[in-house]
Amino acid sequence: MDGCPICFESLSRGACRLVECGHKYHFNCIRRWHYHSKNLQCPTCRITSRHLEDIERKVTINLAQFSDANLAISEITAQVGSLEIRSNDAQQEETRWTLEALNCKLCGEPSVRTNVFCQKCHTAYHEICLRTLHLEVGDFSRCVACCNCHQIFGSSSRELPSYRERSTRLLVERPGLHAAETQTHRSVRAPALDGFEVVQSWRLLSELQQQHCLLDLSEHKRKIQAHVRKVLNSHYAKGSGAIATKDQYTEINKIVSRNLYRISDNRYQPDKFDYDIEALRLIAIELRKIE
Amino acid sequence: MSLKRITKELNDLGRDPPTSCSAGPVGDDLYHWQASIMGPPDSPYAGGVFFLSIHFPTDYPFKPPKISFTTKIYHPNINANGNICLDILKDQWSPALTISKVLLSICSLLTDANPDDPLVPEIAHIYKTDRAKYEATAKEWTKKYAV
Repeated sequence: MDGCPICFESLSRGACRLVECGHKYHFNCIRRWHYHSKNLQCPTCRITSRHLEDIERKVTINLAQFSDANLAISEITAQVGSLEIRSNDAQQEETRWTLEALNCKLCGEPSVRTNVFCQKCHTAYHEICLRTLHLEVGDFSRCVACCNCHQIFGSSSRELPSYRERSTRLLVERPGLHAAETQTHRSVRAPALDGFEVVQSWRLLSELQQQHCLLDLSEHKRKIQAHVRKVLNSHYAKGSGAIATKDQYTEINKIVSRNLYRISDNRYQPDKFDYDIEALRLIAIELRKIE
Repeated sequence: MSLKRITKELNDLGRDPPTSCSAGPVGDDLYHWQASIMGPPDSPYAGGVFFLSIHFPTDYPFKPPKISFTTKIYHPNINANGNICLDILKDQWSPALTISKVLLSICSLLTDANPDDPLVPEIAHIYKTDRAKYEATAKEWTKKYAV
């Protein structure tokens, strides 16, 4: 087998193929070149390739949508490069699937540093977005699930990849495919899940989706928070001395807002609650704690 | 990656040396090479040996090597400092190119200058308007500096 035209090393591991022209490179080599070249031309024939197939893992990545975002490409590849996807079933050996979109489902940002990827529904997230959402909908911080298909990713921070690890872990099994024998796989097999938390979070997420409020959740939150800010600002502006620092402001805002989300079942229901009065009441409680 | 790749290129050059070119490290520093090109027989540079210095960037092969003539040469695309105007050393660089291929491209640049994209407009002008004068001067410089 010929070597990689970029590093000259053997292509027996980590080889991928530019679909349009068929030239083979190491995944990391060609992606590093994409990053440097700011275009998607093949180094050998200069044909622009919009698809890259990971030969071992039979995953094709659509590069077209990232043509303007070479930084993003290099960021995702660092992560996609560590995807461990194998076909479990001999009949499915020929199964090929394409990672079309790797932008964060929650913030919508292009794929820079999306580091959690649901293998079941192909949805990517920033871990920080996922965790923030989970905190906001109910303060269960240990268990994180895919917002799209509700598969549970992992039970503790240890099982979600950190930025430092620079890897996207597949924490959910796809039928017929399984994560290779990695730490990921073990975390799927033997998760140290707190059963109650799983059930609780699953239930909450299901309910939220049933109410179709997951997508506009941030809209509800924003409206509720506007009331909290209004009340807080009046305290802050008065210079009454009760709220001395920006940190205190933020802290109170966080606590009160979360309480209000909970009280109103994560939905903005102005006909049911008077948010100004509720906010005033809760802020007063927090202010007394400071004093 | 760069050091490994440079070492491999050096081994390949040793195993299968290109005709009319040679290249290798100057001292212990593998990032600094010296190369020589024989003047192509069908050019006014015939009979001359031209030396070049090659500096590899640390992110080679993602960035092109810096190559310049250390021997004076009269050519529309090579200036008095030895800098070479060649697209593959700039925006048309590809990591699939090697020092060997680049040196061959420089050889063909000696045979076929590109006066429409000159580095030295005066020489390009003479090249286009009075080819005989250009060839005579190039031969003279070759004799003076490269033999």
